[in-house]
Amino acid sequence: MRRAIRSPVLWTAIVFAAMTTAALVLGAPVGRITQIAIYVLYGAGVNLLIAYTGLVPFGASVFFGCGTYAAALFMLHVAGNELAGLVFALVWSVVSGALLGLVVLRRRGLYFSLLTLAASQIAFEVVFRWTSFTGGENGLQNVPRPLFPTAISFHLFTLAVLLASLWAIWRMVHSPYGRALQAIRDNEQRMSSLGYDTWRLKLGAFTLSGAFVGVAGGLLAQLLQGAYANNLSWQHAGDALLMVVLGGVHHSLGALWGASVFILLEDFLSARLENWWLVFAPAIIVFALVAPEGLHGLFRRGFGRSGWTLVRRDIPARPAAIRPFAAGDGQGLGEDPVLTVRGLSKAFGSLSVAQQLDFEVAPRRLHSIIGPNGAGKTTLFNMLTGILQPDAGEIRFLGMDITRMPVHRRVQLGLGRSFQIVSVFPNLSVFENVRIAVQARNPQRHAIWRDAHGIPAVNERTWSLLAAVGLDHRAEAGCANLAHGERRLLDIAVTLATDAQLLLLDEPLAGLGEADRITVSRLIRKLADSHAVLLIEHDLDRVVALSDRITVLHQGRLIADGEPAEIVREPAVVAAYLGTAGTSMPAPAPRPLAAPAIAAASGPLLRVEGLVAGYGGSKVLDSVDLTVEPGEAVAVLGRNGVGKTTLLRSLTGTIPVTAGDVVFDGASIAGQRPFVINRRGVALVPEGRRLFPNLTVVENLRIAARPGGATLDEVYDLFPRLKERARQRAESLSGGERQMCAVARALMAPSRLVLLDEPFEGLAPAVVAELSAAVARLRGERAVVLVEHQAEKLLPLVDRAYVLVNGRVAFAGSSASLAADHALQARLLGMVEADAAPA
Amino acid sequence: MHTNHISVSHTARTTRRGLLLASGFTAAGLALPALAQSGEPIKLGIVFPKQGTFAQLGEGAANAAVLTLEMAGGRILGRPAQTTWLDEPNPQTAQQNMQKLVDEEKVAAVLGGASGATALALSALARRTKTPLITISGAAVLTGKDCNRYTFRSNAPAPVAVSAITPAMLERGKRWYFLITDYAYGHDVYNAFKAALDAAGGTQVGYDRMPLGTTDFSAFILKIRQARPDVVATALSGNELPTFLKQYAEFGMRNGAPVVSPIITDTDNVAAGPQASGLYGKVWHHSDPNNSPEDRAFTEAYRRKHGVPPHSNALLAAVSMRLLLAAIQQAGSTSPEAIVRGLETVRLQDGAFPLYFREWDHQLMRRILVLRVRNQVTDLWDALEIVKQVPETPAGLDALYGTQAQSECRLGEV
Repeated sequence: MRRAIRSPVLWTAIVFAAMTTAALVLGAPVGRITQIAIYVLYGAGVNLLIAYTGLVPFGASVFFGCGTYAAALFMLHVAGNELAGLVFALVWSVVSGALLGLVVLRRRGLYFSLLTLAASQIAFEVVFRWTSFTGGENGLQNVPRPLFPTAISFHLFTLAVLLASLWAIWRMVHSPYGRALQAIRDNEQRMSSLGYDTWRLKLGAFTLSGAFVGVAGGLLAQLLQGAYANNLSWQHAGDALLMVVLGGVHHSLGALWGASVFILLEDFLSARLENWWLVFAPAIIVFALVAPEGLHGLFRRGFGRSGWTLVRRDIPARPAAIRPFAAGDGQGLGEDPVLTVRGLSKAFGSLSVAQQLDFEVAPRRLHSIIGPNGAGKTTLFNMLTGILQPDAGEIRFLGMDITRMPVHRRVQLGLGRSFQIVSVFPNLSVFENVRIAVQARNPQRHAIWRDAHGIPAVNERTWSLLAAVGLDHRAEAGCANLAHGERRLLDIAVTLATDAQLLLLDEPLAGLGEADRITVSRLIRKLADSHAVLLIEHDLDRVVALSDRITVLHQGRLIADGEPAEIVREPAVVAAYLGTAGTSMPAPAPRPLAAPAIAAASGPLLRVEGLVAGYGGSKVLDSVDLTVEPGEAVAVLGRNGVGKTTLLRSLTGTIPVTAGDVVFDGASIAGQRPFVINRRGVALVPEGRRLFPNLTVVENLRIAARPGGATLDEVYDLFPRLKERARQRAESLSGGERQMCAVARALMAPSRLVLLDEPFEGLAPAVVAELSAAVARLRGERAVVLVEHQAEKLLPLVDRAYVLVNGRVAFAGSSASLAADHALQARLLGMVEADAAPA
Repeated sequence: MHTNHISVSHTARTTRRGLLLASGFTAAGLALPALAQSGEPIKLGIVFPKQGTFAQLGEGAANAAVLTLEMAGGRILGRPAQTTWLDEPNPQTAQQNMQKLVDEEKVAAVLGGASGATALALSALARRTKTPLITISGAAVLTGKDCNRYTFRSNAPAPVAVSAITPAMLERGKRWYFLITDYAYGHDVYNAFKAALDAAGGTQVGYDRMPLGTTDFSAFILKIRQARPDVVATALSGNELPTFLKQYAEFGMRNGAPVVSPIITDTDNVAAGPQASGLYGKVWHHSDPNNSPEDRAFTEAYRRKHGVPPHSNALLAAVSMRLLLAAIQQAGSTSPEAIVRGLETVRLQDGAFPLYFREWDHQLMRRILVLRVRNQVTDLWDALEIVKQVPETPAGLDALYGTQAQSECRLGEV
């Protein structure tokens, strides 16, 4: 019953019943309401493509207009029966949609949109010129309507067709197929890597959308008892988009409000004014500015709700006892190597990223790939999975040559992968993220009618996976509300769901706190006992402890391959990976950077008092107090999800401050806009670096430069490697080089406080050393706040440290005292001895 | 004594007053039913473009219809009359607007349909809803194979306008260049022109088709200059003609081969300004000396009210309204059948010519004027001078508009 109340079909029926009654009572023509119903169907069909599949067709009108002609011509020349006419319009739309989709779906994004517009214009020209068949610009008249001759009987017929169609759409978007479309909308590449043939799925969506729109067109032909070309031309192609956006793209009822307002407003204005477009267009502009999430979004905001309403929010009930995750019994893996790579090579212009790589991965082994930043590890993975094509060489998987196979075929064969940058489905819930991955293996994954949540095997396995990574208590949460570490865990759960025989894991531990690292390492080890796992990681101690075999890459070449104990002693590896100075920190260099004169005032540079902040009403920071003196280096530590990044975001103005105050250099900056705060002297080096990928290093630095900041020479002095890479595009830098560039960028402006969010994440020890040296040099000239979850790297660098626990400050004191107190560290940060044996 | 006198006159006055009041009430009581009926207004619908390419055309026509009703006293059959003007942006919306007029406003008749496509849609709706419609569109099929008992057309159909002007064209020469907009109207006109040219043994020295909405004619003008025709026969729509005329003049061709269009409305050449040139057909001209006194009175009133003389479509709309009012008056009722029969039989006078709708196809029988742009254009609204009038006498009307044997129209029952 509850479900029924939330059904958009019911609400549509209620609204139309109200509108029809109002029209009959006021004596207004009911044909107008019929027209609204037809355009609601049009909008719903188009929204199937926009909101559920992520494709925006500018020319969906091609189906609408051709649908009117198909129905009209059929009824004039073959059978003058409304039902037959609609069926023919449907069949025509399906066939033409599939054929058109074969062409236009070869392109994405803007090109796809324009191709559909071109198709609509072509249809317009054909219809306009082919006077003998389509009536040309005069159109067709006198289409019979024998079954529903009166306005009210046809109105009821239209409502019946509309409600039936909306019900069909609502069922379909909850089916396995419909859920897969929504995942494609969010992250098509990931869906490919899960084994879905995304192209075929999109073609199906395009055809279905065309079918519903075509039926709407057929109904229009019957309403007007005629067919006209103007719906096909580009001036009207945007009508459906306009209505859907006006009503709310991300809401299932959006088309209803959009079509109603659009048609009623046009009607109202054109009857009363001569230049009614002069009022109509600005009214639309005002709507768009005031209600960016559409009318439905505006209604919801009035009730204090937010978020999308495209599908039901609920998830299947949690079972009383969740079955522990069993990774399959690895049958099908014999004794032969699972993966064989011979002579694999790839170059980007003059930059060679892989040179003659030769290695094998044995079954039931944990095989790790290590190497300094820029060694070519992720590129190797990309070639193994098929995202990148090698220039030369051969890849054999389970005996088959997969060198030229498409991505989803490799996945279907049993090759699974997780990504270096967390790649999940941001608009789906945690449960749905994993469920869609599990569904990929299920024979019912293409069903369009049954409820996707009604497949017990899939649900059970999903819960098992969630429990295995520890996210089962977060199953209902939306992806956007997860902390970084939780997203990483989710990513791993999605990868595990693929039942792959060979798992390629790209830095699965990056961004995880110690407790999570243990969980995940245990999981990986367990998997390796029954599958083959190929791992890229930087947490060397763990890699050495866990792996059965290690391969070392350096600058695209394989320099070592063998048992962990041998590798660690190999001099070439030590030199390349760990840096010549080993893991010790170099002494701070004497040359300081130019910095603006520090304020003579004796007070602290930054004072945070009772800060409360969060997202969407949640309280992530619960009264945080913090001070930073000029030129001081301060660490902010804590496990994943305690609010470290939230703290930095509220300091820089990216999220609003709910309560408390932030005083920088004597003036309150709480609630100011980010660029104002930056100009006052607070610079941020964000998590994930956020460089401008298409600009070169020099351009990235110059764009941030302001008078008073560091000069290019000073920055190159701090980071010699950047000078070498000055003219290289930022997207082709390795992880460590990107971090250096991001820090340098923050220094180019006259900042007195530099905030660094997890600067050492995902970096090799040698790079960490370089970066630490740079930070040490900064200290004294500018105040630095470093946020990290790994204390041991940070404490030697800073003067003072704060530890956050659950949004509050649990420790504030000198870094030396924290470094000495291991018990305190263990309690607050969950650290364990570095050389704990894997379970 | 004093008192008696007063009381007697008082009584007399009272009695007189009472008698007057009583008779007054009785009269009123008798007149009540008649009053009640005369109180209910008669509504007429107008469907003309308010925006877009034909906005000026539509505005003029609508204003003319309203003004004609005003000049008739604003009453029909003793009852107040009202008009409602709805937009005609495209066939679909125009059809829905007419449906609104019929369902909501319960109009007795509709005057509308400036463009061919829309007029056909309105005509089909007129038949379905049994609402009399007078349209000013020139699409031939409206009084041809798509005619019906409820649709009346007051403009000249395109083939008729062509046949009116081709003699004047042949006088200038037999080498014709054709410039046609690529849509149904353009093709119809071209076919009619070509047939006339072939019958006279002339030659087609060029034939160019262009898409609707062309704004740059330079390539075509260069070709015309090279081909050296005697006449440039055009079928251009809306804004295209004035744009073409301006560019034609810019290329120095204004005094060369005349541009011919079988039917235009004044706003076309007014928009071209002093660069206008050519030979044109029109169904009315505001300064035609042969205009009837009613036409002249109307033109004066329009000029006073709107500042400019009425264009030919406005005059057409005015005449259509005049005929409608006369038909209703003659029929004595506003029922659809009565209005249809009224329109079929009403006859007004237009100087020497009768003014009426032909009974078997509902085409308004009206002479066509052939005009030429003056060499020196000083007053934009007086740019045209009448060359001749087709036909010269009323006897030629039937031949001009085609005989019943040649027509495909079969009117149905009311």
